[in-house]
Amino acid sequence: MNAAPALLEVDGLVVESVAGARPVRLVDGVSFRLDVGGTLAIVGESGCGKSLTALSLLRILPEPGVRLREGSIRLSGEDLAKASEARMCQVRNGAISMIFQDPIASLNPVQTIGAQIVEAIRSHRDVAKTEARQQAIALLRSVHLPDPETRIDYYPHQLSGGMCQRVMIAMALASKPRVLIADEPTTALDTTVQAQVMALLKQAQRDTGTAVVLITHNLAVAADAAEQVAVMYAGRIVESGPVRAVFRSPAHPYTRGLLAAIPSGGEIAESGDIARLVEIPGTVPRPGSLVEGCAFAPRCPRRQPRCTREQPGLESNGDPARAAACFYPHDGAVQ
Amino acid sequence: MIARLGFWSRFARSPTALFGLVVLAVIVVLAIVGPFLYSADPWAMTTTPFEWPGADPAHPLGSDNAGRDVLAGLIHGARVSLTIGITAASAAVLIGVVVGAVAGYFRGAIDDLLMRFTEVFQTIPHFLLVIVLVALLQPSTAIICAAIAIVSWPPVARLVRGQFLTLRQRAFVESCVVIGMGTPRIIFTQILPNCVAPIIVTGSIMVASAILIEAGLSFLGLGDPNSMSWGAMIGFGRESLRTAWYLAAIPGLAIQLTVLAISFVSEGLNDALNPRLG
Amino acid sequence: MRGSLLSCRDVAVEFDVSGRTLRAVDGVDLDVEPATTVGIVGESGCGKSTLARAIMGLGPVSRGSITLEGRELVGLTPRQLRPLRPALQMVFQNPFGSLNPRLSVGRIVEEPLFVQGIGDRATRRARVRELLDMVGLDAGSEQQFPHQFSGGQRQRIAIARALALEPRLIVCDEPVSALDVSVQAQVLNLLVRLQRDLGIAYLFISHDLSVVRHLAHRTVVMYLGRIVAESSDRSFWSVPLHPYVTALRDATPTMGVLDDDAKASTLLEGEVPSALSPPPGCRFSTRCPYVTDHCRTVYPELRAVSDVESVACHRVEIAADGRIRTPWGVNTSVAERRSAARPTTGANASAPVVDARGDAVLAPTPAGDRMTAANAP
Repeated sequence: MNAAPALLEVDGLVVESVAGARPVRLVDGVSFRLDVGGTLAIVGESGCGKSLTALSLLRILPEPGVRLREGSIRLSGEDLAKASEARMCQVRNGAISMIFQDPIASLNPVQTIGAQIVEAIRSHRDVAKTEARQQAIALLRSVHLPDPETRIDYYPHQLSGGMCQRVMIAMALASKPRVLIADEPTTALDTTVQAQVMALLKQAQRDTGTAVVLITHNLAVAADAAEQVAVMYAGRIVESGPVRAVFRSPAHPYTRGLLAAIPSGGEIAESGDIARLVEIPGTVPRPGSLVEGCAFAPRCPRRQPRCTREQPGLESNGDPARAAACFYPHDGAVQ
Repeated sequence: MIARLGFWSRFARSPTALFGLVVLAVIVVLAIVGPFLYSADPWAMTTTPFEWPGADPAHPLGSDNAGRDVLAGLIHGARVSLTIGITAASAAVLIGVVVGAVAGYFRGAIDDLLMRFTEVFQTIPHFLLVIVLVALLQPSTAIICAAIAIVSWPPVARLVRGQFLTLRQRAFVESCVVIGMGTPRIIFTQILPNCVAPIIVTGSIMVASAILIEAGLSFLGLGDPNSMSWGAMIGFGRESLRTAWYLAAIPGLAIQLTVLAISFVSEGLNDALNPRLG
Repeated sequence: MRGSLLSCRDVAVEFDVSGRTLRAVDGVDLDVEPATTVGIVGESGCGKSTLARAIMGLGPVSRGSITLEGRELVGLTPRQLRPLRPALQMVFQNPFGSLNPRLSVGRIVEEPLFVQGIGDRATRRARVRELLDMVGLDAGSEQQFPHQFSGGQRQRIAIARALALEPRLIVCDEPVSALDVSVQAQVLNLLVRLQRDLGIAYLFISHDLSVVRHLAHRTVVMYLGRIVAESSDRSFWSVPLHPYVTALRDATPTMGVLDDDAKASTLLEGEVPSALSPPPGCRFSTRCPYVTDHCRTVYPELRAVSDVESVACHRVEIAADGRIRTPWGVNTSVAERRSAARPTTGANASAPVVDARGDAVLAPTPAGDRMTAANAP
C-alpha cells in the first residue's frame, strides 16, 4: 500500500434519506482512498449507493430529502464534509470535477457549448472572454472534437452523445482538477463511442495527472480503466483492492457471484446447448429493510450462522492492499 | 384500482385539502337537504325589503330588494350553482376527452383537423361566447350548461391529447397491439385509465369556473330567470350596493368559499394522485 | 431459406424527413429457424429496432416481404393480422414501461388469452398460474401490481405474457439492457431454458456483444440500415471477417483485458454518419481503417463466405483454394472456422463450474480455496 498521504481520503461516509417515516441509510459507512493520479473504480449494481457516494464528494446530494450525515472527505487534508457552501463552490469544477451519465442532458440546452465552456473557465480564473474562448477551442481540440472552431458555437442538441461527452470532459478538465469523478460516463453511448471516450479519459488523465473516481456497473469497464476497485453492496463496500487481484481472485462471495454472472462471450457448445450463467439467487435488498448481520447473507452460498448475527467489517486478510467484508472470504483464484 | 388506501392517506396529509373537502361536503349537504329543513320558498316575497341580517329572527340573513328571504335564496342557490357547475364541467370533460383521445391516438390529418377546431373555440373570448349563445337561445338552465361546456372543453382536449400522444408510444400499449387488441379496447382499457388523474384534477377546476361563469351570467341578468342562483342574488343586489351591500356580499361569499374549497380539493387530488412528490 | 420460421426478404423501412428519405432499414434479408436464436447487434442508427418493430407490425414497412411460417405479413390489415399474432410475440426493453401500471399482474398475463378469445375464465386463470410458475414467479404475484416488483421480475412478467399465446418466435428488443448484471443472468438463463423446453425461437436484439455471443446461434451485425456480416460460425467474433465487427469487438471491454497488457487494436475514429445521407459506397467507408477508393464508390453486397456466413466487404478475399484473407491479418479457411476451439486468452475469466446435474454451482469453490483457521466458524 502506498505510504504517501492520499490525495482523497474518505472515511465512514454515511448518507441517509429522510424522506420517509424514519431515516434510511443509503450509504452506510464507506471509506476509501485515492492516490495522486490514480484511478479508483467504484462498482456495484443499482441501488448500492455508488452514485450517491460520488455526489456526496462534491456535496451535491438531492437535499433536503437526502443528506450527508457522517463521515469525513479529506482532499489533501482538508475535510470537505465540513466545508462551507462557498468553499464547495470553489471546489466544484475547480479541485474536483464531475461528468455524468447522460451527456446531452447534462449540458444547458439553450446555451452554446462555447458559452458553457467559457463560463466554466471564467468561474475559477480571471480571464478575459476572448482569451477564454481561445482556451475553449484549444480544450475542444484536445478532446478530439472535430472542427472545434465551428462547433464551439453549436448547441448541445446539434451534437451527438459522444461529442457532448467530449465537451463535458473538456469542461471538467478546464480547471485542471486534482480529482475527476466520472459517473457512468459511457453507459448512454454506443459501443465504439464508449471506447473512444474511455481512451480519451485515460489520455487526459495522463496529460493532466488527474486522479479519477470511476463509477460504473460494468465490471469490464472497471477492469480496463482502473487500478483500484471498490465493490459496493447495499450501501457498503464489500471488497476493495487492486483491480487485477480482486477480479482474478475475488474474496467476497458477492464479487465472485457478479463476475460469474457476466456472459463469458464464449461460443455455443457443439451440441447447441448454451451454458447456464451463474445466478445470484434473490434480489438486492431495498434500502431501509434492516437486516441483522451481513446484508448479503440471505443470498450467500457460504452463509454461516455468524453471518446473520454480526456484520462483517472491511478487513484485510493477509494482503494489506486488499480488504473484504466477509467472515468466510474466498481464498484463491477462480478456475 | 391501485392502493385505494394509499390515495386517501395521501389526500388527508394536506390540511387545506381536508378543509376544502369538509366545506364542500357542507355545501353539498346544504344543497340536498336544506330545502327540506328550511323550506321557505326563495321566490316568496314574505317580508319587507332590505331587512338586514339579524334584524328579523324569521329571516336570519335578511331580505332582498323584493322582500325575499336571503337564506332561502342561499340554500336554493347552492343547489342551482352546484348542479350547473357539475353538469357543465362533466359535459366539457366528455367533449374534451373524446376530441383529445381521437386526436392524440390517430395523429396525422385527424389530429390537425381536430386541433384547428379546438383552436377556434379557444380563441373566442369565453364569456362573450356564452353570452351570445345564451342570448340567441333561451336562457334556460340546460342551455346555460351547454354553453358553458362549449367554451370549457378545449383545455381538456389539449390535455387528453397530450396524454394520448405520450401513452400511445409506451411499450405497454404496443404490447397490446402485439397481442392483437383492437383500437377501441386499447383506448378504453389501456390508455384512458392511465390519464384519469389529470382529467379528474382538471375537471374539478372546471366545476369552479363553471360556477363562476354562471354567476357572471346571472349577475348580468342573462341567467335562467326561473332559478334562484347565487349569481342572480348578486344581480338583485347590484343596484343597492352602497346601502344594502350584504345582498351582494352574502352570495358572493358563498361563491368564493365554494370555489376556494374546490380548488383546495383539486390540489389535494393532484398531490394524492401523483404520489411521486417527497 | 425455405422452411424457415421467419423470413425477411429485401425489407426496407423508409421515413420522409423534411423532403429527404431516411432509410432506417435498407434492404435486409433475414431467416430465423425454429427453436434457435438469431442475435442482431449494432449501434444506434443501424436499424435493428426499426426492423424488429416492422416485423411485429408496430412500424411501417416500405418494401419487401416478411413471412411467418410461409404466410406473408406485410400489407395485412390489423384484422387480418390478428389470428397470426399468437405465433409471433415480443418482449420489450424497458421493464418499467412495458407493463400497464394500473392492471394486476394476473390481468396483464391473462390479457393475450382474453383478447384472442382463448378458453373460459377458469382455464385462463389456470394458464396464468402456469405461466407465472414457468417464469419463476410465485402464485401470490397474480394479485400484485407492477410497481411492487423489481426490474428483473417485471421482465419475467413480460416474458410470461409473451408466452401466453404459445408463440413460435419471440422478438426480444434489448430485454436485459436495463437490468443489472446479476439480474441479467437470471433473465438470460430463463430465456435459454424456455427455448430448450418449449422450442421457441428468438430474434434477440442487443447492443451488448457479450450477451449476443452467449446465446445466439446465428449473429447478424447491422450498420446504417444494412447487414454487414452474419454468421453461425464459431469464430465470428474471434476471427472477424469484417472491419466493423473487429471494431465492435475491440471496443467492448472484457475481463480479458486483465491478462493482455497491451491492447493491439486501434480505435475507430468518428461516429456513425447520418442515415439521411449515407456514403455512396460502403456505409462503413467513412471510418474504416482499410478503406480504398473502390470501397468509397461501390457498395459491397453481402457475399457468402460459406453456407452459413456472409460478409459485405470488398477487402475480404476468398481465393480459389478456399482460403480467406483480409488486410487485418486474417488467413483462414472455412473448415478452420468451423472447428475453431474456444479461445483461451482472456475472454473467459470466470467460467461457471457445473456439477453432476449440469447445473452451474453458484460461486464456484476452486481447489485452492479453503477455510483458513482465521475464518473457520
